[in-house]
Amino acid sequence: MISPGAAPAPAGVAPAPSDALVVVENLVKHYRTGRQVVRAVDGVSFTIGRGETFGLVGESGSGKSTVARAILRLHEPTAGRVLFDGVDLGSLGPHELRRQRRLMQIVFQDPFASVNRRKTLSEIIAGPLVFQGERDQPKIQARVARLFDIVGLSQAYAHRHPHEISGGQCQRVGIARALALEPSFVILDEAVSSLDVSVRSQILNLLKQLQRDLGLTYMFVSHDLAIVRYMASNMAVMYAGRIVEVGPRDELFERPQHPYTHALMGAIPVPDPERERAKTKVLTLEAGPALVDRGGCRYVARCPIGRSQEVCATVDPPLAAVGAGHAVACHFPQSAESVVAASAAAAAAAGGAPAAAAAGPPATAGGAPADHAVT
Amino acid sequence: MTVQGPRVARPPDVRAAASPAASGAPVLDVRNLSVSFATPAGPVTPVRDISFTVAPGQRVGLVGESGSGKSLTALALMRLIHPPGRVTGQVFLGGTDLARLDGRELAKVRGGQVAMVYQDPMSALNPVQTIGHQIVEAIQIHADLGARDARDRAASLLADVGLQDPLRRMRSYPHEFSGGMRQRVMIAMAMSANPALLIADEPTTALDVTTQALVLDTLSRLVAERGTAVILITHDLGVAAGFCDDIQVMYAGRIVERAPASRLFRAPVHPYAEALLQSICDLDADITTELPVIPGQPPLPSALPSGCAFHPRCLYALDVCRTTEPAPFAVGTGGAMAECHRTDERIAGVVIAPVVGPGVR
Amino acid sequence: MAGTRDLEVAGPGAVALPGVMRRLLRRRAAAIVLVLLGLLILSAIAAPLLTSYSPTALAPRDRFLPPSPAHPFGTDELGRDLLTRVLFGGRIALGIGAASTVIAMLVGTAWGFIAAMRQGWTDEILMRLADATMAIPTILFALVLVAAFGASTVNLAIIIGLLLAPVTARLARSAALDELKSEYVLAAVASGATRTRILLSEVLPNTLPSLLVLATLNAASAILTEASLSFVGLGVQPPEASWGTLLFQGYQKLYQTIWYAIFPGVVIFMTIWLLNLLADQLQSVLDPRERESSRA
Repeated sequence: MISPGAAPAPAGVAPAPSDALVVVENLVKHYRTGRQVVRAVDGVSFTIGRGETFGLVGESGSGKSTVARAILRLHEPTAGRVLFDGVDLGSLGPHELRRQRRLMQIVFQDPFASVNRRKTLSEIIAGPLVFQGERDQPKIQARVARLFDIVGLSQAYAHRHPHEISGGQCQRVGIARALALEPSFVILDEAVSSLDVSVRSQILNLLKQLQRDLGLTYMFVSHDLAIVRYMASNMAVMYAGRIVEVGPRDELFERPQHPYTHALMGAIPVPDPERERAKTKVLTLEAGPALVDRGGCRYVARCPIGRSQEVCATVDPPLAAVGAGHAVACHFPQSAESVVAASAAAAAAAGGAPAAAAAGPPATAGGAPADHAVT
Repeated sequence: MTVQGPRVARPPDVRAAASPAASGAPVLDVRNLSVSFATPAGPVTPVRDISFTVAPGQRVGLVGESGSGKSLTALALMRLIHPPGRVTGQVFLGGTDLARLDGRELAKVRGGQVAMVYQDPMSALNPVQTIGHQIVEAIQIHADLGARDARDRAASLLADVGLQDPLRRMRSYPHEFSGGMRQRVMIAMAMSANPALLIADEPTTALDVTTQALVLDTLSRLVAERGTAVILITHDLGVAAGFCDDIQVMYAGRIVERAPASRLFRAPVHPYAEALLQSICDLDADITTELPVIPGQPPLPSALPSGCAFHPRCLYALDVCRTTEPAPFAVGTGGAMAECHRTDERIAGVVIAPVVGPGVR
Repeated sequence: MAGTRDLEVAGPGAVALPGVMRRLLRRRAAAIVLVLLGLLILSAIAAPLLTSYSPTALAPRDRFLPPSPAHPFGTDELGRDLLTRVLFGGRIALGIGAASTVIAMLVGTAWGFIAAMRQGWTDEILMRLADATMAIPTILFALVLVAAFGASTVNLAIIIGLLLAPVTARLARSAALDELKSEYVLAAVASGATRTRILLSEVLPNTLPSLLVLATLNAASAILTEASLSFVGLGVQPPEASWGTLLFQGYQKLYQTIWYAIFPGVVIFMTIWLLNLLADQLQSVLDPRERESSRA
């Protein structure tokens, strides 16, 4: 993304071509179910620099996994462009695309579901090599053995099947498979979310080490803000198919602006009872019965600020810069205190007439750090 | 639209202390509970001889990872384990040994005095019946109310859990609700007979984190209003920290540490609890260094290590840990305990140097 | 949002054929069925060794004899030993049954897999073709084909195989569609696998259990169809006789002796029944285990 320290610019403006490995421009993915259209991804743009980790944060329905798959053309995008190292992925024919896949790989969330349970671990990891036409058996075996080492799996497991190993070990298999073709870009789609807490840190450490050793570029998709903070250097927050906030990690954690980002940060449970209870959690509003879409912000139904603002309901806010490389899609970007106040006012009004306290344009982007349980 | 305000810190005196004796007769008294299964490879015991009590209104967290046996414990408490599973030990609910009850009496107890909320509301709700029908049914099983009264009661319950316009929403089907709303309906159904004990098995694990916060808040308010005791089963220590008074950490089928939540997170005694807390990647994790790690993985119930089940992964393991299972050692006087041979050293604040152990994968 | 699954308690899942055999044999019912079927097949293969009579030797003086130590099944209208005729008939019946099952599975699986993989128009056309074929009554269809191509053993095998292919195609297609939704297929696509490669290396091994059950049921249908065709005279021609032919003869000669009809009938019944039982056992062994191991 926009490298930290660069002049403030609207998001979506690519840095110098040599820096960018992946450029996503206005990616759109719509699904048609009968007469309805599900706008899973609705115009998403960002840039991933070489060697960095880009974090994509969102909850279910945000479209983050769809973005990941659309980038790799595992699902064909409805519209938009994805440039990989200057190459327009959409322009590639099937044969060229298959060759291109050597360079861009993905690790899935459920380690057991993403491997063929009938194959041995060796066969699973060798899969990509075979699919790409490699026939030289000794060469394949050597590469597989090397991959076992790289991800920290004992060679003794070579002939075991997935159901004979643990979740953490199976995810290592998934990572080894992703690395088999020596890609430069790996998407980690909720790669640790299904793992036990005590195993997660093993895998996260491994991923960071691999990135250093092999010079990988990562896109880390997750709903867990804390893990994204640990892994990513730049990140974007998605809601309902759109990016609502994007920027360097530190900037986003110190000065979040979008009410949804505030809600996400506040909602993360902290394993410390005192801090957890002292923390002022900015809660979002309950998603009520589906409101008529009047073309406004997607978040308006749950936003303590926007639910009473006409502009929020009718005008879709574009991404606009609010700091160094930091952009927000919101008519009323907020500091934490004002969102808390708005929530409290909304609670006081108890869902009746729009709260008086929330009337009028609230405070804009402030420099005050968020008072969530953060650094 | 339902609106939630900022969460207020709970007054510290309202909840029961760690000691059940302080609040009179316990709601739940579990003694030597074990669950075993006969497999072709021999008997497997995922829950091994655990004992604990829950006082009225107390919130106990049962925290553990895969293979810890926490979910099976919940099922065993409700006597929902069927052959080939075998449950031994005693479970006293309000003084009555559940093992002595027959099917009909058990059915009255379940939902009546003890209710359960599950992880996946979609599978616990009947997809072809309206929400209203299911709640009314649940109410009428345990209370002698006519249809109209039951319906009113259902509507007020749904309002209690934060559902807007309950009478209209009652005519909807489960699939028309979001995950968070379905879970609230489950909570409403569980609380409909005012049980003395609520067992919540990973109630928010399948929900988004923002929805999770809302649902936990609702649950907290509801059980506080009614003085219901809660056993919250979760793998998420953050959730447990925010909700529970006391936490029981399970590992490989045993409760390895029991402590008040505030003390556990500040000063865990059992090496597993300590390592687990350290390895969590939370918002304070130091991004410049590697995350602390517990080497290896949790053991399968069918292949437990000798002695203390945690010893292969423990930084402080001694020879005795390899040979003998530790008994519960009391920590302080409030009922807290840890099952570790080195408990005394740890309580005394002796700094124990990690023993360089095998880096098991 | 996914929580932590109980990932540690995984059960047996690999379904290599030897494993299936082992699990089958552990069940008493399945073991009995397998043994009986095995005996049937063996007796057909070893027919010449089991009887001293020739299936075609005439001995008019010994017509319609009831069962006796010399003739355990009795004799037919030309004095031929019925046991011998049944044994040799078994060769034909089981032979055609096996061959047509193989043809049905090969054609049907390819048909269904290609439809599942390609989707869109190809899928539609292939499936409507299957529907159309299935809409034609079996015997009528067979009649036309036999009339057109003759009723040699080979032709019969092909015809019956083709008759069973559409149903196989439908089932293979739905099994394939299920697998194609899996994440490991997506992973294979992400690694650059071609469609054919995915079908062969990912889909086929995982659909093998359902296909195996289907093959067993197809075998039962094939044998029944062949017997029916022979019964109405469209099957094997004299002097060769399959069970169906014998049954027909026996039915015609019911007033002379009841034994003639009973034995072929019982044998047909037993074979089909055993095959259906086997399919049932296979289903139990393969499916719930699968579900258990993935949910464990």
